[in-house]
Amino acid sequence: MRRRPSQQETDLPAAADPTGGEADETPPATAPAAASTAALAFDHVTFAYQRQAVLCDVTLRVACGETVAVVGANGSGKTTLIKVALGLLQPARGTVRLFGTAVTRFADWPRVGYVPQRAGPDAAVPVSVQEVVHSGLARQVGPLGRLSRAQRDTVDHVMEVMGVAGLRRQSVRTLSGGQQQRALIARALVTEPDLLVLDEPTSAVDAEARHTLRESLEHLRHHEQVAMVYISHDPHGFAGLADRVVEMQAGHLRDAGAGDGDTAPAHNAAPGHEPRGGPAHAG
Amino acid sequence: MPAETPGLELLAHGFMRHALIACVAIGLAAPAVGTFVVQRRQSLIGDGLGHVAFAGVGLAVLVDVPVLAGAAILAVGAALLLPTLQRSGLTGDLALAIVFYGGIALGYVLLHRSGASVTSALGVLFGSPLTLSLGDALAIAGLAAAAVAIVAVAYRRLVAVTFDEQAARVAGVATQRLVRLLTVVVALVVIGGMYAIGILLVAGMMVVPVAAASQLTHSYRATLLGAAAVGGGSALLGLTAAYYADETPGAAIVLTAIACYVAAVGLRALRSRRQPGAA
Repeated sequence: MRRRPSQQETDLPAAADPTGGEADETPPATAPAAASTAALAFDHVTFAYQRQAVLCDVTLRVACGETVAVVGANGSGKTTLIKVALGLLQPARGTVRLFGTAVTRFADWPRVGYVPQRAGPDAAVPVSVQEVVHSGLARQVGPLGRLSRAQRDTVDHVMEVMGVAGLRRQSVRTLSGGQQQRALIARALVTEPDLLVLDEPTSAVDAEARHTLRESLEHLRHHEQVAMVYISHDPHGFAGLADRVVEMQAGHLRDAGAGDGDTAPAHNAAPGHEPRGGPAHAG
Repeated sequence: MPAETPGLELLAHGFMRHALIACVAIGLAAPAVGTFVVQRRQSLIGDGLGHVAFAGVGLAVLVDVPVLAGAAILAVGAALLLPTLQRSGLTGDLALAIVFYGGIALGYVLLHRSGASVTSALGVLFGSPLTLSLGDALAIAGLAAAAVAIVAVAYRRLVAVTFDEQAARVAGVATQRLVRLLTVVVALVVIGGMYAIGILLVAGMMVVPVAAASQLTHSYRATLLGAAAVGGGSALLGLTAAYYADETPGAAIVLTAIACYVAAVGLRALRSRRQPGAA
């Protein structure tokens, strides 16, 4: 996948960044942990549904190029964490930043890809795989929805990478769970994001599809240096893929240690060492 | 001359030509807009806005202003208000139901107070395309063309929002504005279809052709184009059948569309039997 020029941006001076980030550094491709501006940063975030706290004083930092798994039981607040991260829900307290910019003011959405738990298969109207992938570019298309040559090339490329190129004309609702998930990931990748957020990517897929998905995510991690946050109720679901694993328990986030990813950032690998820019553990 | 062609003598009548222009235009536009409405599982939204338009007709007759203007003001106003109502804690169905029943009740009260005949009310409810002048027919075709043009310009964004609204928001699409725009476009089609097919029936043309086309298609674009073809074809066939059978045009058009749906279900079943897994 071709990489867009880095578009680091911030709305605060570096000293005021709670994650300790500096706005002007470009993350090195091979040492993601060295990037100082976090792809995603939660700073003492609290969120409640009708006075029922779902996220309690959560602080989390995901460096550029880093892969973080968020595990936890159903109802522990994982999906809420993702929705708050993407600005789909507004926290009661605290701040969420994407690439240094408060999510409420963040405008560079092509840098962020989102893969929901499930979408499309329940659609009332048939939608082809190609149309799903194209919808990721909905904001960037020209008049009458025409794609540029470069955009068409990118669409073709991400569909190849995700192994859905041969399915482009098929209706999404006729695909297996794993194929649907890969189509949704292709949609998220079509803007060549720097951060990919996945909500239970393996919840509806069989073991073989899980293996294929894992390979696809490994490819993104190693070859595209995409930062990833994925949530799973199964702590062993993608064992070894993440640089770091954090666990949600009743709205609290605690560091569950380094993952077994083979390029785990040093600050997460050392037991007891607090990650640069703030702990994963809620305050 | 078309009028001299056997079987096409209906074109010799100006009122039939006007009716065909209006009904086919709405028959094409309603399913094109309806594809997005069905996908959002808001199939009744056209009905709800139609009932508000009926209240607008009653108001226009009462205060003696052009009927289309009265219907347009209330229907577009409701279209702008509806998304806010739906976000105010009412579920989509409840908000629609309040609009639905409030509109029909208010419309009937206003028409009653204006002293309008029951016949004129029935003409709005079930359509009276045979009474349209050329100017009326062209105005209706213009509304239909405007609705199709808006859908064409916003097509990809509408697909993104109706397929997965949250993912569209993350992709940077202004989803609330787009949903509001879609509702306004639905109102335009309802107003256009008011005299052509009828307030009570035009919503059916937003839904039934889409249901028919989606039986046989694998993509959004094919469904939209197929639904428009079914809608336009149903308008043509239904109006022709109504002419020869001396039936009411609006009802004949919707029944033709339902026949297309039944045929599409049958074709799909046949195809599945021949190619298991093709459905």
